[in-house]
Formats: sequence, C-alpha cells, structure tokens
Amino acid sequence: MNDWAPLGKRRLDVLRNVDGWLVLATVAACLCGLVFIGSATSDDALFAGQQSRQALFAACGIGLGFFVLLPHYVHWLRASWVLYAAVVLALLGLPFFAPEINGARRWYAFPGFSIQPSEFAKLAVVLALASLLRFQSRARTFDGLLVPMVVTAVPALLVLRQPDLGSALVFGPVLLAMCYAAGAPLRGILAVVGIGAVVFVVAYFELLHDYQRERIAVWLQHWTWNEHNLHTYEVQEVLRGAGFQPWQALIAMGSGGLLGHGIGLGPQNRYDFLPYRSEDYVFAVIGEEIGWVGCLCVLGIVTAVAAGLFAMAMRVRERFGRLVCVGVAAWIGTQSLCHVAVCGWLVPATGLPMPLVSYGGSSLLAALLAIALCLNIGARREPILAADGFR
Amino acid sequence: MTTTRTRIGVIAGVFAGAFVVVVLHLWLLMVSDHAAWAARSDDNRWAFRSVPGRRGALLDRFGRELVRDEPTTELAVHYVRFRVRHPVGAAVHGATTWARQQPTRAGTTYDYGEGALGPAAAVQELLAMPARKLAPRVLEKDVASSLATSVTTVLAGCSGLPRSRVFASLRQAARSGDGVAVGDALVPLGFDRQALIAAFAQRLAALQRLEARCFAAAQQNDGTRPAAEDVPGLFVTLEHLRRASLAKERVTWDEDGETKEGSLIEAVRRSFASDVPYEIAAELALAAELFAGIEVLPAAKRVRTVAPGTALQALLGGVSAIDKALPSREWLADLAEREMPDEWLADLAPPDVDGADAPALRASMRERYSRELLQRERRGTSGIELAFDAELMGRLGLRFVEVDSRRREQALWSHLRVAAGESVQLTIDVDLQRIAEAATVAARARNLHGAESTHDKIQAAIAILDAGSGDLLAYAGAPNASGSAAGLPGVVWSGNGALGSVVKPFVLVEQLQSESTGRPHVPLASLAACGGSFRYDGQTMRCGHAHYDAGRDPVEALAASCNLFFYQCALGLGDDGVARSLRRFGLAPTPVGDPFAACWQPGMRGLPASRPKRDTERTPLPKRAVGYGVEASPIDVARAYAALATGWLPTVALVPGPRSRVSLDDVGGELELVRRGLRACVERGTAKSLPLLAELGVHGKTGTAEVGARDENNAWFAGWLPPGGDAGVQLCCCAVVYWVEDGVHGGDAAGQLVVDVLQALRADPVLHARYLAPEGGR
Repeated sequence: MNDWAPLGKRRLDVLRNVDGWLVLATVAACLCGLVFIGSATSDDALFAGQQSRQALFAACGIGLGFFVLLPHYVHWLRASWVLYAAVVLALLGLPFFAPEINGARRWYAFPGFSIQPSEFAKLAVVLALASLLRFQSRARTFDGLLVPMVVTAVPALLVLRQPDLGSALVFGPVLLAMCYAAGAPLRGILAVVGIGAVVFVVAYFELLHDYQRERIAVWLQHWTWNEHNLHTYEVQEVLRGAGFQPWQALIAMGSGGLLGHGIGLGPQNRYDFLPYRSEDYVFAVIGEEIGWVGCLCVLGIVTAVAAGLFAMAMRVRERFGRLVCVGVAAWIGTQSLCHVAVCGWLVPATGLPMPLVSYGGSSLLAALLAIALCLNIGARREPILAADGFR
Repeated sequence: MTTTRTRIGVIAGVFAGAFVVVVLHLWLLMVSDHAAWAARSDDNRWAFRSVPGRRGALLDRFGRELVRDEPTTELAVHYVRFRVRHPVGAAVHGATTWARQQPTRAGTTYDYGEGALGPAAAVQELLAMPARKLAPRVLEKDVASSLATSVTTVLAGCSGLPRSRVFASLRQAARSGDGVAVGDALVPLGFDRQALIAAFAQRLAALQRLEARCFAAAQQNDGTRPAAEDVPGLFVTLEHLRRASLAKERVTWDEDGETKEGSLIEAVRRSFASDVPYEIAAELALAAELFAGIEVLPAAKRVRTVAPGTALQALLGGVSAIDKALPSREWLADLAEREMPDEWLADLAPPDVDGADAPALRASMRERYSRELLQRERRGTSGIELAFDAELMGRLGLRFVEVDSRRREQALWSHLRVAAGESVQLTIDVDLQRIAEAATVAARARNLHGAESTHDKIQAAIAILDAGSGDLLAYAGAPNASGSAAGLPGVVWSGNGALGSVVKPFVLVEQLQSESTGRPHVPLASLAACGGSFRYDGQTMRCGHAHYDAGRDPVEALAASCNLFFYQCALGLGDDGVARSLRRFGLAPTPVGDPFAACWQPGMRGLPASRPKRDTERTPLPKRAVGYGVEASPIDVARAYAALATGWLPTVALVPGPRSRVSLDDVGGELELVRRGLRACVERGTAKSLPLLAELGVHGKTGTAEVGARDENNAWFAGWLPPGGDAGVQLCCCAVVYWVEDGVHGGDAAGQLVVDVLQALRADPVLHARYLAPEGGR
C-alpha cells in the first residue's frame, strides 16, 4: 500500500483483508437470530416489534462496525481506559438514573430505545485487560494478575448488583482466558480460580437475591426428579414457581426431537408457554422448531464465529490485538455455551442472552462492535507494539 | 514454556470440549428422551372440552313426554384459580397465612362466613400487614411468596391496576423500610386503603348477589328444578373447598379394596349451582375477569311433566351425576370403551404424532374421557331411568383441543360429537295412571283404621294390563313413602302378601283338567256339601258361609268363593296338583325341566317386583288352595287373570314390542267354565255389591286373606273387562288393599278401588272411547 495514498482510501483498503469467513459466520448468526426472534414473537402483540428492532440494531451495529473497523485499532488501545471508566461510571449510575424494570435496574431509557451498559462492559473489560496484559511480564507473576482481577471484579460486581448474575459470570472465563493466553503460569490461573470461587461463595450469601439462590436450589433439586416423584405436590409447586421457565424450556427442547416441529410451528413457542423466549431462551425455540440437527447448525455457526476469532488470535502477531481476539472469543463462546446450557438446564437459569442470536439491542451492538474490532485487528499486518510480544 | 499460540489452542480446546459436552447433553435431551418430553409438551397444550350428552326422553304409551332433557347451564368454582386470582379468595387465604405468622394468632383461620373472621375482616388484616414483611429474608420464602401473590391479587383486583405495576409498588414499599402497610402501597398511585376496602366490599357484594340470584332461581321450584336445599350455594362450597385446600385434601376412591388418591380437591371443578337462568350465566361469562375461578358450564337438566311424589314418578326413577352414583370403576371403564369408538380414537391423533405414540395417546384419551364422564355425565339411579340407562344415556361430546398458556383454545384436533340418547316409549298410559293413583290414595284413606302407628301397614295398589299383549298400562300404590319403585306397595312385600281367594280359579282349572286327564284328584261328584267348616289334620278350617250344595258346583263355588270346595279339591290334587295350578299361571317358580318353565317370568325390566313364592311348610295343604302360603304382586296376579281372559299367558313389560306368550290350549275347555264362574262372582257372587262391575261385563274374583293377629286382611280383586275401545286393548287388573280391618272383604276394599277406576274411565269421554266402548273387532 502506498503510504502517500489518501487516508480514506488507505482505510478502505483494510476491507480487502477482512476475514470473510468470520463476517459470513457473524451475518449468519444474526440472520438466525432474526428468524427465530420473529418466530418467537410473531403471535405476541406485546413483543411484535422485536424482530424489526433487532434488524435495526443489526444495521446500526454494522454501520457502527465500520467506524470501529476502519481506523487503526491502536486508537482503541488508547481509548481502552477511557471506555472502561465510562462503562464503570455508567454502571455506577444505574441505581440513580435507570428505571426499575422487572425488579432490576439494567437499562438507561432513551426515547425509542434503551442501552444496557453491562453488555458494553464486557467489551470494555476485554480492552482494558488486553491493555494490561499486553506486557508479558505482568501476566507471569501473581502480583501482575492482581490488577487485572480488580479491573474485572469492579464491573462484574456492579453488574451483579443490578442484579444480573448471568452477565456477571461471563467476566470470569474472559479473565481466565486472557490471563492464560497472556502467559500466566498455571499456579497463577489456579490462584485466580480460587479467588473467584471465594468471591462466588461470598457473593452467594451476601450479594445474591433470594430468587437467584432459589434458582440454584431448584436446579440442584431437579436432578433428583423422576417419573415417580414428578407429580407430587411439592414438585408441582416448584414447577409452578421458580422451576417454571427452565422446565418449559426443557419441554420445548426435548419435544423438538431430531428435526423439530418447523420454524414458527413449535407449540411451546406458539402458545406462549415459555416467557421471554426471544431473549433468555431463544435457543429453546431453536431446539423446538428445528430440532437437534438445527441446534447443531446454529451452534456450529456461533462456534464458527468463536473459532474464527481464536484462529484470528493465532494469526495476529501483535499482543494487544491477539488478546482482544482471545477475550472476545472467550466472551462469545462462554456466553453462547452458557445460554445453551441454561436452555438445557445443564446449569442454573441465569437469563443470559445468546450473542448475535437473542433479542437485545445492546447485546447485539456490543457483540458486533467487538467482532468489528477483531476484524480490524485481523485485517492489519502490523509490527509488534510490545517488546516481548512474540512469545 | 508454552507459546501463546499453544495456549490459545488450549483455550479453544477447552471451549471445544464444552461444546461437545453441551451437544451430547442436547442429544440425550432431544433425541434419547424425546418421547417423554414430547408427551409433556402434549400435556401442556392438549385439553378436552366436554358437552354433556342429551339423555333420551321417557314417553308414555301415546308418545307424550314424561321426562325429557333440556340444555341448561351450571356454575362451578375452580378453587385454586379463585384463591389466587379473585380478591375475596386471596384475602381469606392471605389473611390466614399472615395471621399464622404472628405468635399470638397462630391458630387463626379466616373463612367465608359472615362472622368476625369473614372476608371483610380478612382484607382489613391483610392490608394492615407491614409491607416490609414482603422484603427478602424477612419471612420464609414460601410464606413470603404466597403472601405476595395474595396481596398483589387483592390490590390489583381492587384498584384495577396491572399486577406488574402493583407488584413494583409493593416491592418499593417493602424496600422503603418506613413501616408502610401494604394497603397504603398504592397511595402514590391514587389508591388509599379505604378506597381499596370499599372496592373489595363491592367485589364481595357481587359474589353475594350472585349467590342470592342462584338461590332465588332455585326456589322457583316448579318441579323441574332442584329444591333450594339441594343447591349448596357459592359460599358453602367455598368454605368446603377452603378447608380442603388448607388441608391439601385429595379426591379419593376405593378400588380393589384399596384407597386411591387423585387430584387435589381444590384443583377439581366443584359445581355450586345448577340450572342457572340464562341471564345469570351470560353475565358471568361476559364478566369472567371479575369472577375469576367461577366457571359457566354447559349442562343438561331432567325435566319432568310428572308431579313429584306420585307413583309414576317413583316408577320413572331418577338420575345422578356418575361420580355421585358410580357402581364400580370397571363399569366406568366399560362405558368409556363403549362410548369412545376405536375409529374416533384412530382419527384422534394429530398429524405430528407418530405411530409409536398413537397407542399411548389412545390410552390417555380413554382415561381422560373416563374422567370427563365422571364429572359431566349422568346415569339412572333407580326405576326405569336405571333399567333403561343404556338406551337413554347419550354420548358425552368431547372436543380435543389445543390450548395456550392461558387455557384459551387455539385449535381443534378432533371431536367426538355429542349424541342424544334414545327415547324410550313405555306402555304406561299417563291418563290411566293418574286415575289409578287417585283411586289407590282414596282406597287407602277409606280403609284407615286402628292406631296411627299401624297406618303405614295399610297400603293400596293396583296393576292394570292389556290382557292380550301384557303391556303394563298403569301401576299405582299408596302411600308412596320412599319415592322409589321398590317402595311402592305391592312391589316388594314382607310376609303380608298372601293372595287369598283370587287363586281359586287356578286351582279350579287344575281340578277340572286333572279330572279329564286322570291325574290325582277328588271327583267333583264326590265332593261333600259345604257346611261351613272343615276338619283337617286336627284343625278346623272355616268357610265364610255354609254354601250347602252350591259348594259342590264349580261355578257357584267359584262365584260364592266356597272354601270347602277348594279344601276338598286340594286334598285330591295334593301338593303337586296345587303347585301345578300356580305354576301354570306363573304364580310359582318352576324347577328345571318343568313343563311350565315358559310360564315363569323371572322379572320385569324397569320394575324390581318381588317374584311370587310359596310357603309349603307353615301352610297346610287345604289352605294353600284358597290363597294362603302363596304371595305374589298385583302385576303377577293380573298376568295370571289375563291368561284366564284370553287363553294366553302374556309376558308383562313396561315397553311395547313383540313378546312371547304361552298358550293354554290344553285347558281351553276348563277355562270356559272358570270364566262363567268369574262372571257369576260379579253378577251374584262375592262381588255383587259392586253393580258397575256387572254392568261393564267384568269377569272377576274377590279375595280376602287373614294376615294379622287381629284378623286384619289383605283384600284383593282381580278380573278383566271385555275387549273394547279404540285402543284395541282388553283391560285386565288386579287391585289389593293390604291390612284392612277385620270384617272388610276383598269386594269392599279392593273391588271398590277397581270400581273407582272404572267410574273415572267412564266419566272421561276420551278414556271411555279408548277402553270401554264396544270395539269394532279385535
């Protein structure tokens, strides 16, 4: 490329190096989301506008993605702490400025739309961690990991206080993956895991709300259910209460079978047995309507996105960029797997949307921006920005 | 030291491993266990809506309706929905729960009564509860959840605000920590506690108005609706269900000696008002949101044109819901299998049910149909309704539908069309029946005697047949104490059924035939004249009068009812001969291989009459020939007299149709002589005091059997009219008055009963033409 070519032309040239497969997988995931959000909301007047809003957010995400993709990603490195501070401030302001919706203050309301800062907090944490961990020496010592832990813990705990247990849990694997990719020794990783476990235990007793503890208790209880005790009064009371939504999701998925009922024809979906299915249980809708084979395809698409990001991380030589790709891949992978596991009640219900697929403007925007950033990173062939980045 | 690429590979590998675990779990869930989850999905959305089958009508001989079904509506309460969604139910349960959280009031229970712990007090208690009690970790989780639901229902129901908004206000009040009561949680939204209590009072008053209207409708008792005391009422039902709900009681039943448990009582619909007028049902259906938990259901009511308390009503019997009159679970299973044909089941399965699931689905459908039958279908419990239940019972209509999460119908898969039962036409002529009933009541009233404590033994009954076909045209009895067919006089008796002299014609037939066939007998020519008394086996047996030589002539002996004549005949005939005389006319059971086996009618469908019986041990042989030691119902005696009239022993029945009859050709000549004797009885014999009988050409016989310690008698009259009338019917009847006073004879009591009937027939031009006018050939 001619360094003397106009700046705009140089920026547009980066588009030629963009990973087309990742773009394709991302678009495919968004399209899957649009299809099944439409299926989940077509018969419900209350949520009828979700598909068009999701499409609008997708378009915004693609548009904004260009603004993330075109300038060199070093600008995002420089802005990482600003973004982090902004997100932390936004999270701190929720109790004061955000309206309470369904018992939680998670969204800033604007005319016609709302913004959920916890979704952008994930991207901000990835950028901040990448900024910290790009210096390899930091990652190799336990002391060097303390700051990343604090950097992760602050927004995680603020998110947990909203309350939003699911999103808070995503930060942990992202931190672990980035620390490990940055070269943290195994004992350091284990120390981080140990500290995380202690924090979780303390949070379980001090920070979690009753209904969140109840979800965990019901999840533990459901492994003891069988045909003999399923119709007892006690179990039926649980299924009418805290166990209702996950149980209906299981029914939706289990009844899908190999090939499903057909798009738009899933009875659990059509007849509104599964509340908030376009957001927290969209994969259950997918399972019911296109079966195990369809689930495999959708999971494959989302896995392709994560795999593409991991592959990009392997290709990228520059450390910051590599860590960003790892962080975003870990975020998308963790959140996707958690969402699917929740739908199958493999883990307690947490209300975690599936990136790119579930309805959620902020979630979609944040994911698209993150992927755009990774595409930006992958499209550059840049010299190393950190001294010991080759290792 | 691993390279970064390797580490990224490890991370990717961990995610890949997690992916594989998730995919495997999905395989187990979606493919291996697919059948179980598919069944649960079906359970979620498949529902049945039933419509009770219209029961067939009971018609009289001329097609006039005696009983018919009419569509109506009933009201039922689904208690779980009522206590969760209706402010009154929520207040009662919520206040009870809250009171029990306070140490000094742990035993307090609110109810639906009008006392100090009624709904009005309950809502005051509940609204005074501090909102902070609903905050997390203040009360036990289950208690807090239950209270929150109750309070939300009360506040939302009384304010009209959405539940979500109410719940948000409650949460805010709970967290505020400033001691605000739940009743004041909506003050920022413009609803203070007094306004909520006033609104609650209106909701309670609406329920009370509903109950009052249902009671008022039930009390318009024209005989077609249940009496007021049969209608439990809304609040009585709610109270019963409240207790069952708190105790978590379940529906139970006995099966194979084991007590089985079913659904919670509070989860089963319970009817509290039947035959509800349309305007009430329509209002409820339109305002369903304001009456949560109260449902309007299609139903059918049995409408009777027959006055209550009559013998005909007792004959017709009654119906009841199957779950209140279930013979056995096997009966229910058989009915379900019969009423739900296989071809419907074969079409039942929705398209997405594959072959492997279809048998399980069919079994499930049958089981559900049985449950619907239990609650929504009726069966006969007594009388003709019971005897002809298989014909009368319609088929419960069933719609197999898909419902959504709010139980709203979304699709119809299939339906088992409701089918009406067959109407059953009886042989009863309701006009003749009314006359017979009036006559039996009058006859009993005329013959009341002695202490009032013995009056229940004094009973009158009459059976009227068509001698040719055996159709039962009327059966009446007084008093009708039990209201059931089996309780009618003459149907079942205990020790007082002796027939008396009405059996003499049958003994005479046997005597005459024994003379001609050479069976053991005493020749008529050798009979002694009647001196008024007879010695046998150390006993003196008397005749009513000394008939002298008239007691040797069979016609005169029959007309005058000379006992000595028949005592002597009995000695000649022996026990075998006397028994044969009764068996030939169906008045005694026949052993296996007996030549008169065809004469015995084992029973009559629709009327559980006791079968004739003989007592040979306590009754000496001569007395058996004059009607002691043999008991039969008026129907069996009338049947026997029909054989005397026509020469054919008919089969008596309550429904028309071809039936077998037994020819008496072997005693054709003997019958003619007996008929002369019976005519003489009316003209100049023991029935001569009833001139109408002679005037109408009646052939008949009186009978008087001493049955009481003070010589109380059974007074009988049996006979027939000549064939005549437009209906082509030959009336044959048997009347009895049990336990008449000593000195009152068959002609006086029973004969008069028959005369009353004939007078009423003659007085009615239609009935006169139908039964009495000379017929133009039969």
